[in-house]
Amino acid sequence: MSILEENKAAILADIAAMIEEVIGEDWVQETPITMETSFVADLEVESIELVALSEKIQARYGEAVDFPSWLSGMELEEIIALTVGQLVDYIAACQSSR
Amino acid sequence: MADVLARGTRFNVVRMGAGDAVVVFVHGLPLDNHSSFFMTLAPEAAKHARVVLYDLRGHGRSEQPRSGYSGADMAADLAAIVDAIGEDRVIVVGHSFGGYVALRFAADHPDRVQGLVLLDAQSGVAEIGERIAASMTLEGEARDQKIKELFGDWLARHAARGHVDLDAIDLDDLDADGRATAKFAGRLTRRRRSPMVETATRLRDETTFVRDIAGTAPIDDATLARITCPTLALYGAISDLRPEGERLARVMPSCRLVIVPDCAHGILFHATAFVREHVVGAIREFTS
Repeated sequence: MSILEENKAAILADIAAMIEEVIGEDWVQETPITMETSFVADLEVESIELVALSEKIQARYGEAVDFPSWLSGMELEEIIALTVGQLVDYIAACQSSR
Repeated sequence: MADVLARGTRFNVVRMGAGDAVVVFVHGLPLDNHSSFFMTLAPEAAKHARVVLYDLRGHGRSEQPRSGYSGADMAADLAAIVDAIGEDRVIVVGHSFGGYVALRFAADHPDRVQGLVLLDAQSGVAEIGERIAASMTLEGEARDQKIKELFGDWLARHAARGHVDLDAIDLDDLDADGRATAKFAGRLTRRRRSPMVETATRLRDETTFVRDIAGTAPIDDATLARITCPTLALYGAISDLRPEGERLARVMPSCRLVIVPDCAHGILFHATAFVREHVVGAIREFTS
């Protein structure tokens, strides 16, 4: 695994743990979180849960990752299609551009 | 997130951004909360002003007291929250019923409002309270049908943004009888419990919400005429509420109406970029 791939794997593990805290352990056990997992179709998240996730992301990664701005720049269809992998890639990109 | 105590009730208040001006966003009823703004307008607005998002009483992560759900109560809550966070004058952005709350607040506290932005706001022409209350008290088949219409639309179009509004169903999502098409009804099988639906159900069953909303008085022309602060009203071109926007522009001394092309009530979600551009423009104009 390259350093970038290792970093993304670590971010995915972090994000999966945060999602589990936000939407509940029981549900996540039924739906393993991978890069392909969809926030809406697979996890059925509601926007207030994305706010909670956003707070956790900021606490973990700091100002370098501006999740609210990234999200609010998307069209509705893009948010509905959003995957965990896209979020992981975004965080990795924020970190590498620092 | 931080809790603010106002009028004996705990409110979930989220603050973002920096600047001299303060912009408070007020969401709609009953299946809505502050996150609708968090995901659309707030991050951009926060580049120009201090932004305050909160959940109305009984909604989102705010406390759900047993009573106090009239429009006047919600406007009093807003005033108390503005007091509690130590702000003097604010710009208020209200969406749908949040627009009613904003107008009532501006009418009751003219010295505290620097400007208003009304997003397909209700002001009371068409018995707002009764309409919302009626939708929430339907039983049996009528209720199931309404839920299908609302949640069919919600799951298909608004799931990620957690937004449903009573008039938010797109015309092209409906069949000739005005019902959600099979394609949308087919998506009704939700596997996980919905926090938002559970909150709204408790609101309906365990509080005076329905009665209080039904008893909420429209804002009359004489009251609107006394609201002199600069006001921007954005209404969907095919929204049921468009006549209300036209009334605001006619009656309020400093109200400018902008029509959002091709949109029904859900302008915040279906024309996000258009709405964002106009809201940020208004914030800059009101504070210059």
